[in-house]
Amino acid sequence: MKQLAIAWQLLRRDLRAGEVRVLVLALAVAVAAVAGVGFLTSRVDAAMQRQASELLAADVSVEAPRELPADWDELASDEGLRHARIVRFPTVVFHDGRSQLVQAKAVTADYPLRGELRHSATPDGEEVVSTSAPPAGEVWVERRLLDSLGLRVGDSLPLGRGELRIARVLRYEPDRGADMFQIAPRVLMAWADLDATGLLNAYSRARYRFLAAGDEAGVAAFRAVLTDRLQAGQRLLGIEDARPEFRSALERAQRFLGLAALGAVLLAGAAVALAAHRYRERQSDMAALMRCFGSRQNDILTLYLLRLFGIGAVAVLIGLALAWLAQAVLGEVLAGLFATTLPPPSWRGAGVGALTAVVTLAGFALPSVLRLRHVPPLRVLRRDLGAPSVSTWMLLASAAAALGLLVRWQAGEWQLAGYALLGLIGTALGFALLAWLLLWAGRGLQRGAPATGWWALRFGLGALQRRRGLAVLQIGAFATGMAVILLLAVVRVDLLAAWRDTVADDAPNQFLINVQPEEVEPLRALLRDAGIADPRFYPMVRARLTHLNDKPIDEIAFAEERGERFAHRDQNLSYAAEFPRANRMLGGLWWGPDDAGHQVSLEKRFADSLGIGIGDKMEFDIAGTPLQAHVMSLREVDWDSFQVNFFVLFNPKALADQPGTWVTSFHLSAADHITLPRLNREFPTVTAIDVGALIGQVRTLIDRAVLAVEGVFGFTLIAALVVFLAAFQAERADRGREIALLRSFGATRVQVRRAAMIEFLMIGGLSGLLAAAAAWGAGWLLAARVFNLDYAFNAWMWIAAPLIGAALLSTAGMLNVRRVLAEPPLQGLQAS
Amino acid sequence: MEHGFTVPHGTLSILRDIHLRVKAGESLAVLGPSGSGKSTLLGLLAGLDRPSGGRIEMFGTRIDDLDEDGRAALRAGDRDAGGVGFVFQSFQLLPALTALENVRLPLELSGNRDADARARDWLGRVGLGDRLDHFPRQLSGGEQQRVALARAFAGDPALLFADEPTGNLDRATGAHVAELMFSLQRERGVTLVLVTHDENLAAQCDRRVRIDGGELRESA
Repeated sequence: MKQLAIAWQLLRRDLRAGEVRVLVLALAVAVAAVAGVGFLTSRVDAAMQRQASELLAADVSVEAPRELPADWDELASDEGLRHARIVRFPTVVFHDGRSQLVQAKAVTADYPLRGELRHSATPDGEEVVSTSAPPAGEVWVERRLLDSLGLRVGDSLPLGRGELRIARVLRYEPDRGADMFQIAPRVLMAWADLDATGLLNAYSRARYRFLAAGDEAGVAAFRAVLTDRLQAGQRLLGIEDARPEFRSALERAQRFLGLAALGAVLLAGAAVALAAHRYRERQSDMAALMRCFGSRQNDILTLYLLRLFGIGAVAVLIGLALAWLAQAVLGEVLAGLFATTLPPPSWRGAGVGALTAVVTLAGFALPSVLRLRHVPPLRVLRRDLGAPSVSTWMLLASAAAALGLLVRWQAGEWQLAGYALLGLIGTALGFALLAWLLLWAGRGLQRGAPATGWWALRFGLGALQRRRGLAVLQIGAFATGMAVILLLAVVRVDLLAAWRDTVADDAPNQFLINVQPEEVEPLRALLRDAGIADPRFYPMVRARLTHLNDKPIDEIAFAEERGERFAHRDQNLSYAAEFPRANRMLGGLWWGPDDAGHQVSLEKRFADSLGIGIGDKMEFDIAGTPLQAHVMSLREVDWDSFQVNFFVLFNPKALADQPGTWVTSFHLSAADHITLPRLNREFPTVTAIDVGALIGQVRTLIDRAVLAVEGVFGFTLIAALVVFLAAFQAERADRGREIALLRSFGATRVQVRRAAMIEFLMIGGLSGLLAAAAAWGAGWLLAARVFNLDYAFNAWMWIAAPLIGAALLSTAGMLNVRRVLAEPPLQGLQAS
Repeated sequence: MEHGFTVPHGTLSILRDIHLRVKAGESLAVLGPSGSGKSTLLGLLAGLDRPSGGRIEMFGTRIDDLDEDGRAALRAGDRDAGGVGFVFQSFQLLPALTALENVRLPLELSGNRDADARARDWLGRVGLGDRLDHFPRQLSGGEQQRVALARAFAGDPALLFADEPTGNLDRATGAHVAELMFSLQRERGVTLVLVTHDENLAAQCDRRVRIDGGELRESA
């Protein structure tokens, strides 16, 4: 109790000391980074949890690319279940010369069976909850559609051949999970209006669902009945099946952000270690005195542990406040990504933050503080006796252990944790090594500086050599912080620009899908009318992959997740007599006119993902009919050509008789406002996809997601700044003495300031230079090895990064030097 | 001149009613027990701090109303413009600089064109010509103080302030350093203000004053 009272009293003093403030700041940044991510991901997680039970808007559902049998209504009723039908399909809406791709959803009257719809009379109006669908003649649309086309509630919305009245603004639908990250706004309409619009036919790219809900026994019985009747392409979904891939995407994002936050923790840890070292030095007198007064080693240990705990608690409070603020801002940034509002964060994030503080303190600060109990009492007589210093190896081992623990925890598994830890430590060491080499190489610069007239330059450059260890730490930390931001903010944009340069100006920007065989010629005529010289149409047959080398795909364990996805989704098969444009043959043979067999040519990456090659056998199911073929060749496709291309191309003789639709792509000038509306009027079931607009929308989504990641990396940069301050604090006494001595020799304030300015400008400039080099190197590697692009030299980044680094660190440094300069030289000399 | 601090319940007086004049070329010892304020007096005389009241002149210039940079400029000058050197009890060498660099530093600071040659010359004079590239931690206490003496005299000061220059040294080494200091002082005709509690050291000065309880009086 007595210890607690003393600790409390001393804690208040502690918090006024420079090094303790730096320690609190560093720890708060670490807590804020980790808890901020925890808060944010808990909100997304809660949004998903909330939806999981409603995700199907039913208890059981069957999904298929074609309409489900009519007698199922009766089957469901027989089991005492309520039932409904849904169909979702993309279509384009035109209004006032503008077009917008929408995700239409037609539902029967009883939809939703579980969960509720929320809508309002105006975009900002009061939300109304209902459990029934829009009546015939009405559509409910999302606000985004109103905004993009300049429509209002009450207006007519042209849909295919018909027109429906916009009655409500749709705010929430339960089974949105599938399209949570969606690009096209929703148009919710009545099933009864489908025929009048003529939007769907047998070949439409639509997803049908049959929904049923009721008591558990009825649901189980209905599931059993359906299981026997399911045909290829029909998938039975229960609540447990609700979007597993979305959940795994979230888990991956959570891990990535969690590990990204650890970058900030690593740097903050370095600052904590420096501050703790200084704290130990400053507290040695007090510890010696207490020992002199008869305190036992354990008393001293308890006292300092209590104070450390208090310091940690203050840091956690500040960190959590920062995290709360950060998640609110990031949540706002991300809000547009989700079709639903995010619930408030859970307090688990706070627990995660507090635990991070405990582990960071234990790993980075405790080794120094523990040594205080070993301060010899003789120090009261002999000031040169301090606490025995902690061995560097011991400190590194303890820091690595703490970091390893945090990484393992965030990664959730050992292998990823190992890679992440190696990556984190490797990056930090790499930067430190580069910084050391730069400083080593810079010795010549200092020696070369003229001895007279350039004293400040010589002395400032010399300071980097005199404090090389700390300078390496400062440069390494700040370069890390800046590099990650540059990579996201500059290199990403450069890569996108480089990719855009590879796309020809006249590359197709419109895709028409869902063209029926009898529409091909009239549509070709229409496009020619519009000035499109040679519109090429490609056949497309929907199918499902069922077997590879006679083995059912459900029994195959694919090495890649991509393979799993490819195998289970609907396949778009095509056929061609001629080798297609924008393709390159990698192996095997193209069929000749005399080849009669069932042969396919596969895109290389598609084949690799499925683990098959030339000579292997594939079996597809096309509307209930099996079709077998052997792989005859592998192709590489230039997707950037924006031509219509296919993973799977058949010999025409094998596929030409199968039912299918046609697709085409063409370049439409931005000034042409006539062709698409005309096309929509004359061919309502044909869907036009504006690729340019689609890319723009995807980019907006990515930009927002990247902004969230940048937010997390922002903490890394702040942590790097704290490392700089901690290093400054660590050598403040030496610097104070140095400045006092210089002043006693007659150095003016301006001279001292100039020398310090040169030192900080160099640290900041070198950090920026290293960061630019690292970001450029990473960009070049990505461009050359991953994306096959020419990565241009971004001179702007190489100039701006050192300038920004120099500006930031010289400002922070000079603010601190000003305080040292304000003290009379006598004080600095007497302090030593 | 007087000096003190404002404390919560009034003023703490360190030096009171100090009248002192030091003639050019003279050596003056300021004697006094620990805590008597003699180091504070030395700092004020050298312009390292400002007195709370009164006036201080150096080389005919009032320094108590000069700002920090004005006082620094006076200290930085060479003999013609004044110029001040220092020797401290704790040597005050910069640990990251070699002996040569430590001596060269104030010379470079004042823009001296032959700083390097001069520093080498002075280190030779104090018997450390073969230790130029040694860092302070590689030198003994006596050697470190000799580096400090070389640093102080290399700038060719008109006035040298020495604060307990032998305080951290054993008797024999202290005597050797003191002998070196006085011989250089006489040879160069430098005015010396020496603060010490060592009567023997003070005895080597032309004149002694004693400070006690913040007040100054002439000593025999």
